[in-house]
Amino acid sequence: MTRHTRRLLLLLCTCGAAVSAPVGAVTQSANVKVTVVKPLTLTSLQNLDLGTITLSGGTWSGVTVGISQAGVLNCGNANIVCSGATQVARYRVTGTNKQVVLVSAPDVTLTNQADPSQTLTMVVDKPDSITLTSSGQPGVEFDVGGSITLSSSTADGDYTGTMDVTVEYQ
Amino acid sequence: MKKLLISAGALAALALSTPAFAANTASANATVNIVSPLSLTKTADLNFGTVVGPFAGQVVHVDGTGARDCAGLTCSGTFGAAAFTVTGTPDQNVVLTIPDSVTLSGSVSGTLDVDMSTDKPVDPTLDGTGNASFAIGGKLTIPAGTVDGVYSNTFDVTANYL
Repeated sequence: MTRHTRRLLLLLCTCGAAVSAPVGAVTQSANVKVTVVKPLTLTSLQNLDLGTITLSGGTWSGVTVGISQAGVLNCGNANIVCSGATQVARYRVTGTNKQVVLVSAPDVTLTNQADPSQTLTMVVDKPDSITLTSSGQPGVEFDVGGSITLSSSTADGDYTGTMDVTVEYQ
Repeated sequence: MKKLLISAGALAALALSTPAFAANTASANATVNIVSPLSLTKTADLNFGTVVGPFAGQVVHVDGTGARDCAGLTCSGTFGAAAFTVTGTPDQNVVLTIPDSVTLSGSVSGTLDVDMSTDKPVDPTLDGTGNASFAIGGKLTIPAGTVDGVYSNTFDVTANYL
């Protein structure tokens, strides 16, 4: 190999070193993500109704009456008799297909329509989340139940209240 | 044989000239900075969470502290800035290389652009134990007509000693 040839090879090696990554540099990747969805709509389709509850005499407390989100009435106590039609509340939610929607609802204060100082607290029975199965209509319907606790001192009367259900994307 | 003679001549010439430059000494400093290899670890991804339309070019911002500004849109879900830790030799300055932007691809169709140019950290100095951490935010522009879906991509961060 001649001297000319050796110089040429040295030059090529130098050029190669100049374009390589800096010695000692370290690299890591990060993910970037966003989920873009259409607005949710929530429509009330029917109201919740616990029917009529007749209280027996005597002194007692802590009796729970309610209807589950599946529509099953819980009225199994000797101190009360339930009658009349009952039903769960029903809602329809629409949004983006396959998205999980969180459902929230606080307890509901039911007020005696004859005496507003008399109230009952209804604990809501609802699904924690709903998975949408369509984009937009028809959406998904879900039911909400609730239960109240009675005692022999609960005042007679019609108790009503407003249930605020909120949905948001997970 | 010819090469050997030339070498011998050069040595002789050096030996003869030395006395003419005697007592003339200069010094120079020699320094070297020995460092440990850097290690860079991602501890969190840049996540804008879920953003609800309709869209008209709004800019959703997740800053370096992880705070999210949804520009009047409804947002939900987990969100946060990308975060990294870098380790190496204590008290050394580190230079970061971070892209100014990244384009996200939609799970259905389309793309979205994230501008990170104003949400980069300053180049860190490793602390006394050789550690530093930093975060990266970004501004996501969502144009009108953006199709629903999950938009994602990755970007690379490089760290090196200054």
